[in-house]
Amino acid sequence: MPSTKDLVASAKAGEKSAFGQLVRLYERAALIVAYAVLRDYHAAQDVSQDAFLSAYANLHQLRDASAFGPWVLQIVRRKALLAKTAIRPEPIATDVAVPVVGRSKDWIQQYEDVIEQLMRLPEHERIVMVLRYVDRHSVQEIADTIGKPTETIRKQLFRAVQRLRNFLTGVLS
Amino acid sequence: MNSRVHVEDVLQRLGHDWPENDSIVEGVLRGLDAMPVCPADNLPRGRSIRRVLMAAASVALCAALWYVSSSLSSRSVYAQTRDAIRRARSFEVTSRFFIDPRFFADGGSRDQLRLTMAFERGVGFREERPHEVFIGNQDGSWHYVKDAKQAVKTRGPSVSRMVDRFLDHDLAKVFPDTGCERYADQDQVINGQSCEAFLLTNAQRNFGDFDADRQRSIVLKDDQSRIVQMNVEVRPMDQWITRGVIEVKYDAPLDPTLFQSNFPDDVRVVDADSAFEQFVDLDHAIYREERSGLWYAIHHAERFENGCLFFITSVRGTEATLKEYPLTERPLQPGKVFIDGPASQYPSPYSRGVRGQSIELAKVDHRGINVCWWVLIPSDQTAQVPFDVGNGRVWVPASITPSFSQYWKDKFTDKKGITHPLTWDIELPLPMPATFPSLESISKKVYADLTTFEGVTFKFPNMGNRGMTSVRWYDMNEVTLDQYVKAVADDVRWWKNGSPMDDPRRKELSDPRYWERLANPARSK
Repeated sequence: MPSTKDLVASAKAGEKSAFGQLVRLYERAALIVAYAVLRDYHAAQDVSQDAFLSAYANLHQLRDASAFGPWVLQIVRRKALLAKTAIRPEPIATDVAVPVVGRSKDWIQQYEDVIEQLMRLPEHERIVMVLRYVDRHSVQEIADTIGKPTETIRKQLFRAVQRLRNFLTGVLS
Repeated sequence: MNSRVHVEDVLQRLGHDWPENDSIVEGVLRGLDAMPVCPADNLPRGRSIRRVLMAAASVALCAALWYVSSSLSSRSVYAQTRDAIRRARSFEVTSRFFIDPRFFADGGSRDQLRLTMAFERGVGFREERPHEVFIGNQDGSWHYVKDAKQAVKTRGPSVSRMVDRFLDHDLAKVFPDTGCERYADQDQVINGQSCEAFLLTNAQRNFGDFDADRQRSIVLKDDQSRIVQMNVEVRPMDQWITRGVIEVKYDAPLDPTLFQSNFPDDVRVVDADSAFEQFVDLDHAIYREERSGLWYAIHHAERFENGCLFFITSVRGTEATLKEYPLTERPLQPGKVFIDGPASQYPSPYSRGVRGQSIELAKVDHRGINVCWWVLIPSDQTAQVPFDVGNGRVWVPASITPSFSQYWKDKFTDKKGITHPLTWDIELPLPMPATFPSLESISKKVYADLTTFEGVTFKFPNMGNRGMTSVRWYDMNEVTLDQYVKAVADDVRWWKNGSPMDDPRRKELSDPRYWERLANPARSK
């Protein structure tokens, strides 16, 4: 499999399909980040898609090609926050039936607690957690992506799991 | 939820439960189709900003110098020359560039490169270079390559576009845009007219072997403020020597035969348009459909081995569309003017890869018509007739994508500014043949088709795998039949594997040098 760096180089050279492979690599992480902010699966999809398009348009600004993952996740989070502030609830007329709240897909709702607590982690830990467990990247791949030694990534993962465990315990208790 | 294992397990289940068919890749790629190619500039932002600021400072400084030191107007010398040429009824530009000034600095050889350009309004255009000639008149345009003893005729580009290309591409190169001062010592009388001299100083882009302080140009203006001569000088040692002389004559009578397509008897004249137009003639297409002001046509369809299909399709604007949105010419380099049509085709592997995988084998763009040779490879390789929809008909995934033209901006752009491609399904009657051709015979047919279009500039065989390398479309002149057949076989086998990632040779194939070696063994050595 070509590295993120190679794919970014190909995308910069105009190969849109290379960018498609990048999207495939990081779309789940992006959706998790967006969902954590918006709590709406479909809105998260829209925001993620928009964020990837924005990333493509600004790909030339990415200094370190291998850091594409963290970079695009930051764009996703920023766009999700903007989208959240832009979506203001319409005043509901008293004689109109209130629609059912929440368009989330069923399968993701069961993970809402985890996602919520995931987003409480420091950013660097959140990114490695999502890349490792949701997008299923290896520790080595994450190390290459983040530009840190594998041992550092392992320590971050260890601490993040510990922290998440504490958060979740607190939530459940 | 109180153990590490449990936390990790929940997170992994989150990734595992993710629905496979809920990818946003397709949506993103559709959005990308509406965007220009990603800029290759990968300068860090800080450096880019600094460069912009430096450039702005340079411009400001030059403007100030210009204002203080020059008696010319605030416009650049080049702009003045360009305007003067544009206003003239006719003009003739002769450029002589000496091969190496060091030869004649000590009295040696005076070998020179001579270029002439002549234009007469309403009559024609001629640009003569050492090895080629461009001629344009009311009957069309010709590109004559002397060594090849061949002249290619097409209906475009227009004469005015040829003049633009000369002015913007060739002439602009010799005009530095900064440092201009009066240089009275060099005033001369040219053709009986007193001319004032001006000194232009700056690095000239086309004389990169000399430092900026060792290059200069002396421009001579007539009493109508028109540039009539420009001497390009360099200083390899201590003294200035002339490296090139450009002379411009305005409104002088020109020999009308200059603009006629008179070539030596042994020159073969090829009509680039006729063979192409016959090939993509709508009246002879096996299927055609008007959709959103565009003609989509299937000119050839064929079943071949292993349930695959082969198509030749084209897309172009309808008469009404072209009337409202005429074709636009985009000069690229001498002899190459791309004519933008309203749309092209993009049988994307991502967009339509449900039942099979579409792979472009070649494409041609000529006078606003986009032609594509492509094959459809089934996902289910065990199926006998994977694309049949009954009654002897097959499924054809048609697609039209923007060509960044105004037409698409106006007709297919949504509120967010994203333009959308058109994709739809066609059911085409396609009888079962007695025997199925091989992929090799199909690729040979494509190669033969491409060679048929002599003189068509923009024809590209697909020599690379789009997913792994940017090396993909090649100049037809650089590809042999054997190279092409092998590249097609590699490409199709690649996609038939289901995923490019599964290909055991992906490391080799992802190396651009592999494709360079394949396409041009001689150059790679």
